[in-house]
Formats: sequence, structure tokens, C-alpha cells
Amino acid sequence: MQFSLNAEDTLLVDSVRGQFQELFPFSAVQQFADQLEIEDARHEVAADIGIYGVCAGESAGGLDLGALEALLVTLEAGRNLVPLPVSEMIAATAALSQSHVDLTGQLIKGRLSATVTWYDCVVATQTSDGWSLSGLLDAVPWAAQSDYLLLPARPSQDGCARDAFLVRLDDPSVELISNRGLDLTCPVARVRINSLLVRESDRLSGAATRLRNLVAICCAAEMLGAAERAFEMTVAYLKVRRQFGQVIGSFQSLKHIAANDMASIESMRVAIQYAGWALDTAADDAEMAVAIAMSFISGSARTVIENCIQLHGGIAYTWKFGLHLFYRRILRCAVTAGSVELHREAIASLLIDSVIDSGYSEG
Amino acid sequence: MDLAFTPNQEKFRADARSWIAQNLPAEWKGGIYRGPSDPALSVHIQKDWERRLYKAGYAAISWPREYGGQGLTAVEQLIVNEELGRAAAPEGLNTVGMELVGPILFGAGTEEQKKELIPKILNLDTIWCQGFSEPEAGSDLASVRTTAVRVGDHWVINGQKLWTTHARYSDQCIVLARTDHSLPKHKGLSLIMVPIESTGLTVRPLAQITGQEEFAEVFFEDVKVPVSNVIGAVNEGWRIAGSVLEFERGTLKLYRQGRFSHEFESMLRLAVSSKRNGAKNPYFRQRLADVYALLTIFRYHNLKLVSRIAAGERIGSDASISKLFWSEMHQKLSALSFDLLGLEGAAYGESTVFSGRFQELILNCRYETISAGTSQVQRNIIAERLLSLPRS
Repeated sequence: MQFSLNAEDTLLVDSVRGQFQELFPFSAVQQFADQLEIEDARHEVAADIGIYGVCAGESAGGLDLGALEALLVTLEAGRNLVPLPVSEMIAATAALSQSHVDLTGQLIKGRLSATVTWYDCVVATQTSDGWSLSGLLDAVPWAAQSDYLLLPARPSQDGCARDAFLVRLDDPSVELISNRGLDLTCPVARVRINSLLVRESDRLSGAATRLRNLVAICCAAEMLGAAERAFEMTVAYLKVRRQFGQVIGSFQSLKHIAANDMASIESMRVAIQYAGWALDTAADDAEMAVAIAMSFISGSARTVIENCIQLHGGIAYTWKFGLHLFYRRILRCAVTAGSVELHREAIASLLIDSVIDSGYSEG
Repeated sequence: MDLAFTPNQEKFRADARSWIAQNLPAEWKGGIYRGPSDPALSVHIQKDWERRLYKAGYAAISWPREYGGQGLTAVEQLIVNEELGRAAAPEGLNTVGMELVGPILFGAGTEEQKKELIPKILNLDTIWCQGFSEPEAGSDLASVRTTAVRVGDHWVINGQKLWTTHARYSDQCIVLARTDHSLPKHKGLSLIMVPIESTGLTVRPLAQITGQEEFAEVFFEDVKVPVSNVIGAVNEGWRIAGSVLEFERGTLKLYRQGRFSHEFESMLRLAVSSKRNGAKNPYFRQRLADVYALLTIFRYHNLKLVSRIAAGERIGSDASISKLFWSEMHQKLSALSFDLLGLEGAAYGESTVFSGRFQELILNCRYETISAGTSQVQRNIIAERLLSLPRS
């Protein structure tokens, strides 16, 4: 029983944090948010850190590490509001590295880019030599800026998504309706797919759940990272801001809010680390652990950042101060990674089905 | 990161589970923690059970072997606690001895005290109660007014203690008393062992919110005990008690998780019963999932705590996070179970569903955000000691 990071993982966190801080100082993030433009070179810069291939196989140039390491990296991306599809690229290379070795290599090097969605899915119909995909996907992160999209598909309108498909976003059968993103560090687009023909080799059989779990906990880690950093800024502020002749951090009403937030952050941390470990070891409770982490973090990260804004007072309400960027990141992730209610319903199904299966009686 | 139990630990769990199944007192089977209604009989059964539990190797698990412990780690302790909770085993009558006095003796007792007192705790020959809180010293515990004055070879104790659980069935009370008025309030306190049978000591039972009388007030009128009954240095009682209260707040309450899980299982059966249909009601489904997530996260916190303890780390004020978390989570669980009862929530007692377990729970768990430091005290500790925010 060792519920802590080992030396290699600690080193990974330190190294990624240092490089993110250098590459994406807060001023650069704010500038990105104002201009809403990503330079192609940025992918290559991030690729130099080696983060895109955290979970990809070594033969494709990846590090072949687990979900735990993936979420440690994306937590740091959340802390620094890194304006790149880090979670999406990690999930994509993990899914593609066995079947699409060359493409994965290009993604890891930052020469091509891919994004992932899982909340909505399309319908896949088998054709004589492949598949035909149709459907509408909302709020796909980075869709207008990426070359590829990995998405889940189901066999009919009512079925469950089992397979994932790889599609090119510049295909004429793909229509992008680019919206402004609420999260200024992550543009999103609505994607309409009209009878897009996909080769059998671009179908990742049975990959939908694995893809969803990985991208979901990566997004949850981003939320935790953003909440953690905003909270650190808030605690520092409570120690210097003076009102009524004293630092505001000495007021019990504010201290108790901060104490709740600290407890929340610790709970989020154990929840996500457990989920990462459960996925990596294919534990029996992996599906449940992911749903628990997602439901808890989607709700708690939001509460923490909202408290951070309240504790800062008026300054947090200004555009320039930038705390809203953390809020926007968390709100966006909480939507695209699945709502609290959605994940709670998943927990309820797992729980209640097991009770009904085992028979029950009142005591 | 390795959250798996070793094969040895898994075997230890399987052995514990089968031993508990074969040895649980017959009176307790059926999934309710309540013993017989006759308190004396209940105490007798509990003592017998705890004695057998210890003899079988399932108590004092992480205590050193030389004092009669099993010499294992906090991980094995967690395993046994999970299994005890799963089987709805009786609550510890000897909790204060095992969780407070034992650790205090290990931390601050003399060799002689350890050799004499620890085996008696383990064999259930001495049941301990805790004399810390007073009418005027609740959250502000350092304001205790009970005094111990040294007269020759004795301490002479005067004052009143409150919320002393199981005082009626205890043999000894560990008393926090003021031994020096000239020092600042945190500095003049000592821990003194007082036999319940002492002349001048009176126990007056105090009925709690559920109507049961587990609590008592304890009055001291010129109670004399030998000077050697002090534990640790004179006037160091606050520091010693403080370290133990940290234990009380989180680390050694791990057994709660097993009990809460057992309650959750019962609640789930309540939810799926066709009469109430809670399991099909989306509102109740959301609440069940929320509470289950919190309960499971409480288990993660515990796994992390035991892994840190097993690695030799000191937990300190982090225990406040755990205390705050579990006490509030448990109240949420109790509220949901009560709401799932529907109209039956207005009835009370053995004839209601689950023998009235959930009606009792919602009343009973109020104390959990109050005792061992209120939630507000825990938040002060987190803010001041962990976040270094200035004192008010």
C-alpha cells in the first residue's frame, strides 16, 4: 500500500511543471486569451517536452506510461492554463499508437494534431468497404485547429457506443461551425458529419470506453490543477490584502471557506489518483472509480473556483486580473468531460444494478 | 502509487472475515449494531467479544509485540476494521483505552505504567473513560477548571467533567486537570488517572439525544490519587492530549468506514424496495450516487492515511481534513436514509423498517460534527495550521 507518487512520477511532475511555467507564463496565456490564436509552432514546442505521447507505445515514440502519469501531466496543464489540447492529444496517441504508428509519431512530435470528443457520438453504418458516419457533435475542443478527430460511434440511434473512429477534419463531409469558446484558452466547434466514409482500418474496435475514460480523467485533472493553482493564489491574497485594519485572512468567515476548499482539493486529489491507478491496473472498480472522480471533481472544482472569486472580492471580477480564465477552464471541462448529474447517474446504475442482481430484502 | 493489498494482507483479510463470521456474538447478528436492551448484559457481551477478538489477534494490531500488540501495520488495522464494519460487529466498549490511553501511554507513559496498564487494556480488565470536556470548557478545551493540587504524595482533585462516555461501566478515568494556575492556560494542565471507585467521585448518567444513557457527568470532590498517577510530565497535559486528539480526529477512527459502508448497503436495500421506489426516482438516484462517491472518497482518504502511517509519517493536523470530511459525509448519508423512509420516518423503534436504525442515525450523528473538535474548530485548525492564515 503506497498512496503517494513514486520518485519517477514526482520527477515527471516537477519537470512538466517547470517547463509549462517557462513556456506558458500567465502573461502569455492572457495574451492567447485576448487574441484567440494558436501558432502552429506551439504544438512543436509542447511536443519537445514529450508530453503528447505519455501513454503511447514506445514503437510509436511514446513513453508507454499509464493513466496516472497522463493525469499528472494534464493536472499541470490545468495549473498553467496551457492553451493546447493536452488531454485530447494524450488520449488520441494512446488510442492510436498500436494501429496508426506513423500518425501517432507525427502527433507526438507536434507536426499533426488530433482532438477527441466523447460526450456526443455519431451513428456508424457498415458499407461494402468500410463505414459511413453521420451525426452532430457539440462543443468539440480544438476542432477547427486540429487535423484529426477521434470520436465514438454507435451502431444505431439507440445503441451504445463501442467503437471509436478516426476522421480527418478537412474532409468535405465534415462541416465545422466554429463558435467562440467560453474557455478562452480552448476554442470549441460544433461538428456536423454527413455520411462520411471511413475505412475499416480507421475503426478502433471496442476502444470507445477506454478512450472516454482516459480523456475524462485527464479533463478532471485539468480542473483539479486549475482549482489548485487558483486556490494557492487566493490563500496568498488572503495574507496580504488588508481591510478594517487587518489582513482579511484573519477573518473567520473567510478562513472557513478556505478550509473547506483545501479539504475539497485533497478529496479531489485522492479521487483522481485512485481512478488513475484503478484504470492502470484494470481494477474491478475502475469504471466506478472514474465515475466517482468525475462527478466529485466536476462539482467541487467549480465550487472551489467560485469561492476563490468570492474571496478575492471585486478584483476577481475584472477581465485583466485573469482569475476568470481559471473559472472558464473549469466550467468548460466540467461540461465537456460530463456533468455531475451524468456521472452520478452512472454511479447509480452501477450501484443499483448490483443490488438488484444480488437480490435484496429489508432488514 | 500502489493501492493493492499484498497477498499476505489479502489472506489476513480472508482469515479475519471467516473468524468474525464464526465468532460474532449471536445477539448481534442481523445487521444492527444495537445490543440487548439490558445495558449490563450488553456490556458483558461486549467485554467477552472484545476479549476474544484480542485473543484471536484482531485487536491492538499495530501496537508493539512487547506490550502485547500484534506488531503489524496500520494497513492490517484498516483491513480488520473494514471486516468488522462489514459484519456489523459490536462497537468498541474499550475505545478510550485502545484509542486514547494506549497511545498516550506509548507516547508519554513511564516504562512501569506501560507494563502495568497496557495488558489490562488489552484483556479488558480496565475499561477507560475520558474526562476532558467540562461545562465551561467545550471547544475552548484549554479552559478546564477542574484542579489537581499536590498535597504530600497525592493529587487532590476537584471539579466536574462532561460527556464522559461509558463512565458507568469504566474502571478508570483519564482526567485533564489544572495543576498550575500561574502558567498560561495551555501550560498548566496535566493528565491524571483516576479510578472510578475513588471516594468523592460521582457519576451521574446523562441521557443523550436518542434517549440512551451512554454519557455521564462526573463530579470530583476532594478525590485523592497518588502522585504517580500523572501520565507524562506535570503541566505537559495539553501538549500530550493535543497529539492524542489529532489521533482521535482521523487516524484511529478508520473503523467508521466499514460501519458507514454497512449502513449504505442497508440504505440501498431500502431504496430498491418496491414500496418506496427510491431507486427509480432520479432525485434519489442522484443523492445515492453523491453519498456513495463521498463514502468511497472517505475510503481513499483512509488508504492514504494508513499508507502514510505505515511509512512512518506523522499525520498531525491533516487529521482535521479527515474528521471534517467523514462527519459531514455521514450526516449527508443519514439525511438521505431518513428521506428514503418516507412516512415511516415519523415512526420510531424496533417495529419499523431496519429496526428503526435510520431514525436513530439521523439523531445520533449530530454529535459527530461536535465531538472531538467541532467542524468549526477543525476549519480553524486547517486554516491556521495547514494554510498558515493568521489567528483571529
